[in-house]
Amino acid sequence: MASSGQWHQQIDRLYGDHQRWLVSWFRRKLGCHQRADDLTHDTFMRLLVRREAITVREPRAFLTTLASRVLSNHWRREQVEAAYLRSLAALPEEQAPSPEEHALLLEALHQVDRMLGNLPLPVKRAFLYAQLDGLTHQAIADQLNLSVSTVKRYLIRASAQCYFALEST
Amino acid sequence: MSESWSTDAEQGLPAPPDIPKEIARQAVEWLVEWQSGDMAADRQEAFRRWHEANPDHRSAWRHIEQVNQHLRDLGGPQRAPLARATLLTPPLSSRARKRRQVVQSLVAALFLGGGAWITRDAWPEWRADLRTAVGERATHRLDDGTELTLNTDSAVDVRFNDQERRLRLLAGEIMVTTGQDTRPLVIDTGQGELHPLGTRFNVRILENAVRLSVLEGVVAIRPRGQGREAARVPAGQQRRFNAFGVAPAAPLDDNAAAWTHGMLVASNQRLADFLAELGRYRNGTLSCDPAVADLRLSGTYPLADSDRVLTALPGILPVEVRFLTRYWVRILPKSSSG
Repeated sequence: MASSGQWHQQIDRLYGDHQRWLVSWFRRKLGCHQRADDLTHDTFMRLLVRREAITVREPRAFLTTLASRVLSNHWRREQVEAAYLRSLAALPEEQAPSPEEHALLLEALHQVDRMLGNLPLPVKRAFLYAQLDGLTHQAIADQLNLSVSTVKRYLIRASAQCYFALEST
Repeated sequence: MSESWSTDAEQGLPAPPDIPKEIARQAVEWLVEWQSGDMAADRQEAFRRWHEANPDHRSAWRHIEQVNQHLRDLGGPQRAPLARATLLTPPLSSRARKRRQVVQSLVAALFLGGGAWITRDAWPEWRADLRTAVGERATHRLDDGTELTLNTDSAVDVRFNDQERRLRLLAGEIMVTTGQDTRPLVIDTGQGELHPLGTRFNVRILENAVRLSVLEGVVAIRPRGQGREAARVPAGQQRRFNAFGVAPAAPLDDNAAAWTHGMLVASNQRLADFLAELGRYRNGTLSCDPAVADLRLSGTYPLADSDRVLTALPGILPVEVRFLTRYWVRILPKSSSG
């Protein structure tokens, strides 16, 4: 109990001392005030959710590390969203998802994108054919002009990362 | 921590189970073999034996199935091309990123419309004096005798001094029964201030407005952008307002007070609206197929167990409830096969 109270005090102090500094750090990176506020909020939310011990010796270095992660996550989300909107624009109108499905779909895409991480594009492509279209190994091999054994290797690599966060062998 | 769900968008997919790496690897190999398209009968039998052999095997496989449920939602002939195009976007250089950002904000504004912008206070909700989690409800008696009940996912700052008693509603919904005190009571909602004159009333923050429902007495509304009193709402009425004005009066909503008793009241309500209400009391996403959105339902439902309310829906409406996970629920037409 006491340690949880101390932990909250630490967060409070960190927030009080460095919140403004962090907002301007984000604003320099983004050139946008509104988003700088949002991402500052996200950074502190992350701290709060993780409930990890806080290194108080170098608070700004600590916050910068965390904030850089929030920022690159933000860039990637923007990029995914832009790609989504572009592919959406190419769809015939009757196939477009309803407005309420947009949000769901986009959130699901963000999650899967994070799961796929930095896998090479051909590996991602093979994995998506297997998962989203249910293509057999042979069909994926034909589609991507690869051998069946390569397809299998790709799928094992992608699955090990996506399901269990294992490094590929 | 069991309450690992948060508003942070980092969450959503189930976390990998705590099992040995070797077993995870075996599970992955079985999955890939299943997907190969030509798994012989004896291999299927071998899989069955592997699955039965060890609880860790089963939990590894269960995890794979859970993640696959998420993926399935992105699949199918209509969704798959969209998902593929989105997920196969290569990372951009930072210069291209800046250029794209401008275009993207324009497109997003066109497509997604307004609504999503919630102005965030410099003092965030989690720092508030009083706070409830999703699904939680809490009643506080303040120093002056005022009774304050917070509904699900709500936050209030209490600032009492010699001149005034000020409550700042930062998020969610509150029911206030005012205490006896000579200092004026002010409810600050961001969109404007409320000045109650000895009363019981409910205040709820909506997406772009605030809804005030008065059960007893009178409450004055002072929209922020007008700086003066714009309306007085008597008992039995409710009104929406924002910083710029006050909407016409309406009779009290059935739910204005029902939530304080842990109930959700629907009278001939659209299913989509009902789910939006129920969704406030649970984590995750709750949605319905457009085909069933306009079905109507009536009744009184307990908020404490929203899972049970959902499970009961097929008994009263021609629908089917799909729990993709505990946190991702979708209501579909009955006939659809899933």
